[in-house]
Amino acid sequence: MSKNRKLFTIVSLVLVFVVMLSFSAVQYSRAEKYKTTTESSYVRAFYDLVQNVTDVETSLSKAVLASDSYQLVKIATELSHQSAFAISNLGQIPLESEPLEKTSRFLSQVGDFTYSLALKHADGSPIEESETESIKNLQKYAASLSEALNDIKEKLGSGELTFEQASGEKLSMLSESFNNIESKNFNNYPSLIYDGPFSEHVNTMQSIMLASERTVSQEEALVIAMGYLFNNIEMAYVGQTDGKIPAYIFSGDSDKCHYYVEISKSGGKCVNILCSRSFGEPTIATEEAIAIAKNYLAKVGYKNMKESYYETSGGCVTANFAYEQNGVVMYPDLVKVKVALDTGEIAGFEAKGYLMNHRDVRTLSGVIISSAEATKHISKNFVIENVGLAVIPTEYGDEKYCYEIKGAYNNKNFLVYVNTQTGREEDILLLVHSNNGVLTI
Amino acid sequence: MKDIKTKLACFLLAFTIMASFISYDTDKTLFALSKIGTQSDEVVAIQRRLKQWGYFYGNVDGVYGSQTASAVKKFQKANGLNPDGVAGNATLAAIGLPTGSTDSSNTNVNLLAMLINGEARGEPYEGQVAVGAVILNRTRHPSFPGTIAGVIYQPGAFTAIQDGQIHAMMEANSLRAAKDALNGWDPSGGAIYYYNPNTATNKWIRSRPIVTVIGSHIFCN
Repeated sequence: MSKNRKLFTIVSLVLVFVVMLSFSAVQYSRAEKYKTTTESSYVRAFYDLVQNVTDVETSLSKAVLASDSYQLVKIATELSHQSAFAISNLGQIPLESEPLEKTSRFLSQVGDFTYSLALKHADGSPIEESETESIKNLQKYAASLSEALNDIKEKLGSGELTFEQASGEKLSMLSESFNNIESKNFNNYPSLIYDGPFSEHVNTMQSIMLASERTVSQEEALVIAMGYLFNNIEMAYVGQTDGKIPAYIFSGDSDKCHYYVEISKSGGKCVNILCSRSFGEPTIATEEAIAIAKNYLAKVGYKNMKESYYETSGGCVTANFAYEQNGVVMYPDLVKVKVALDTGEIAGFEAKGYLMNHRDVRTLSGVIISSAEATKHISKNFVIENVGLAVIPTEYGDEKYCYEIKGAYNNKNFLVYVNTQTGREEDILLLVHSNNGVLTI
Repeated sequence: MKDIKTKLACFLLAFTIMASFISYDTDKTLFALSKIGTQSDEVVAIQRRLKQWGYFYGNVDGVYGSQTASAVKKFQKANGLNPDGVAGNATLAAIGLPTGSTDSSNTNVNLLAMLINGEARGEPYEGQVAVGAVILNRTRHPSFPGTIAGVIYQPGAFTAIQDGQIHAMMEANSLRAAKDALNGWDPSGGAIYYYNPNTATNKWIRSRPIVTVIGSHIFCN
């Protein structure tokens, strides 16, 4: 009996052991498979990056020789693709070091900068010598980056470097190599200023409107903050923010909602209001909510605001308003108001666009192109519904005075913007009407 | 007899341990459904597919009318689904469309909400919007990838990706915060980094100029 028992014990233990062993073997091989798959995707990203940078260098060397904008547009388009791929691939390589700010900035700016040159000389004006110099300079950076990456590629090939993540404090050798590129090759990378979204000046732009305003005290700001909420909520100072618009931060709670309010230090303007609560079943219509938003804007001192598009989601309507000057819509001066559809209360406010760009009076040059000329070149099948005037923002902080031509093409609604000075089509937006609102894409 | 029981218990324990190795996925999110009366981009996509496959003969206009509903029913019958004429998750999956947000044309809302949920659950609401805003600020910054997915999945960029918190049960707040961030609210003041001073080990990040502090996160440039 006891012998049988012993045998049973041994057999069952062995069985447990075998099952466990085979299970861990399966787990191990699965882990290995995953590891190989991840590593392969890293290797692919890296090899693609090397190729992208080599292509960037080649294209730049051609751009140095380009003598007219036609050729430059072609090269700029190529460069934009190559650099976008390069950025995307660089973003997939596992580096636990600090971000490669300058290397990425260089890759972002290469396509962007060449493209801005191409647009600038689209009228046929000759490319300036200083501009060719800038391209030459970029090409030098591309060449040295390409060389450094090829060096890493060889080391990866020979096994001297791996994608294995380092553990603990020490950086992996791969991260070190990339850090070296950042500190050696891009040490003196210049700041480039041009008409493109990645230009250096875009991040350092200051508010025009608030520049000359006086600084308000924290106490004054608190009174202003409570004025924006209208429902006597006890607000308290909680801190400050040193972003693009330096501001005091106040917060307070009603029985069901937590409020967050920023009041700018200069001028004491409300930068934004956030309200956090869950929103119940809608009891008011969208149009009603938009009327409430409009009313609110008038109460807090915003005049001549024209309603543009709106979006309904999560039980709220977010309506956009732009400043209107003598019938010209100023899209850079944008304010957003969020209204809760269950109670009709204000559930949010955002005025960064307005506060950064607003001027009471913009001096607009007279229109050179007539509206008939402006609409003449638009596709014949485009059915024009309405032509207005508007100032639109560019991605690089500039503004353009345009005709806003609303119409339909192929059952889709579009807004076409034609420059009043040059007749150039500056932008085309797709208008989407749905149950959720009217949006521009 | 007692010993056999112990051994049985051993077996059971071993199997429980093994079973716990096996991971499983659950779908927890719930969204608005495409049904009669709906008008959205998703409806456009449904109509296009069903037209291609010969279930739908009307115009691809993005309006879920009775024609679309009967096309969906036909499709559901042919594919062994409950023919209710509503394009729910199972039907969408069978049509080959992403099951998810029909709430907005922007499919990035969900991904952004998942990251906010994983990174800033339990933070004040403004702190959640600020985390979303940092992601969006990065997509516009020359030093980072240009897309939301590119920024979020950049290796090592966010701990919620590494520890799987991005898949944590979605809270309604996170989804609202993602929407507000996409609509332009930015309590981070234009920041491109943030860290928790109690847990951050990276020395470099502590040297960055601070923009603002919200809850347990420091936002910086």
